[in-house]
Amino acid sequence: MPDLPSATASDDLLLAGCLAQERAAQYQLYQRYKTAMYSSAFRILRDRDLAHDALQEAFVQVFRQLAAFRRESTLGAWIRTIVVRQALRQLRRENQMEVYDPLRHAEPQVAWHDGLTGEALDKAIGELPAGYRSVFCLVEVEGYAHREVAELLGISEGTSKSQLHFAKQQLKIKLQYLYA
Amino acid sequence: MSNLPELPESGRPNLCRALAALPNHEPDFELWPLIMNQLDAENGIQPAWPALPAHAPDDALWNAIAARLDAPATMDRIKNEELKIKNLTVDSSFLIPLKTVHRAEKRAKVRTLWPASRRLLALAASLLLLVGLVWWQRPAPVPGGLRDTVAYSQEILAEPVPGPAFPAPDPLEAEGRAFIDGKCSTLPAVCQSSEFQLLRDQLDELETEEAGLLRDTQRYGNRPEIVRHQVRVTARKATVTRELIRLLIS
Repeated sequence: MPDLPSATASDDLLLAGCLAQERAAQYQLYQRYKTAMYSSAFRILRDRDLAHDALQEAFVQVFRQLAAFRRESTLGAWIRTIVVRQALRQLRRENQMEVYDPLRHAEPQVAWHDGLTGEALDKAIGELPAGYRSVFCLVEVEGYAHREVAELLGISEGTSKSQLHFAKQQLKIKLQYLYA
Repeated sequence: MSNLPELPESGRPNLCRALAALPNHEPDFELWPLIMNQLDAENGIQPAWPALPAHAPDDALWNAIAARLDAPATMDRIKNEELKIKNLTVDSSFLIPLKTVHRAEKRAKVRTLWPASRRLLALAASLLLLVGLVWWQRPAPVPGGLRDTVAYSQEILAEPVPGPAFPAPDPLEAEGRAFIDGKCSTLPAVCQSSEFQLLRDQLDELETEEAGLLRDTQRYGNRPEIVRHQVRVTARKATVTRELIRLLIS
């Protein structure tokens, strides 16, 4: 899971300011979380405009629903859930989720290369079909469990696992040529 | 594919290292103004809210609420009755059907009961309304204390009974008229005097009135007021006739 800005005592001050509809406090909160949240949205959507739309809608929801934040998780995790849900909503509008068909796709036994870098992986993720990319990002990058992914995407837990499996196979194939 | 074998992933540490090194992506600088504009647009509706007129509920609303709050006590009583019925060991035909009890529960839920204090207030209000109505209906005071009084009486009339026929023309009266007519032919100067003419006109009017009374008697019978009037007319005729004779003789 990517690092979120650490929740500090200033988070409480920021929260109080945001609840009071103070624009300066809202801007500070946005600045604190915008990169992490935009990265999550962009990795799922792989489209800057769509990611921007998702982040805009998500932060408006955050400021509107902040009073409902019960501190059952960190503020960053709470915001990220909103961002991810919004990104997935965008994705459904733009794409159909692909379902893994093991009979149609071969399963090459390829290992993750020793020289795999973050940039290369990021590029390969961007080339994945939307459905596979979503599951890979949610499970491997954002750290959600399959049960949570299934709930977020409205699919079964088994489908989430199979989607992840195929996403990894696709990535390995793409990266194999890069490091061949 | 949940039945896929959970095999150890080859090169998993390499993947984890790359995942940790994934690059971050920055949103455009223009995104914050867009978010701010959207928030402003939504908040822009709010300032109009306080300007909206406030609407207070009727005072009676609290009574209805209080009655609803009292309803659970009624429900408890019904449930206790239901338990008593269940515990009875009498013939089941004497038991109140449960459906009836549940219908009573439903009625208890929707019926609004007034508390005793409210009933007293309603009684007091009704009395005040009654007093006000009586006061409003009283006659208006007359300035100066003077007051016109209209009195009326009611006379119960007997059914017309065939009483004695209207008195037949008095023969002396006829003789008196014949005497007057005879003298006027011989003493025309007296009969043309103004005093004689005035009395003669009075006698004619009295005879006309007497003929009207005769018709009334035939229509309504011998009613007291007609008889009284007839007596007065007859007496007046006799007086006028005597005066005419006196003028002719003298």
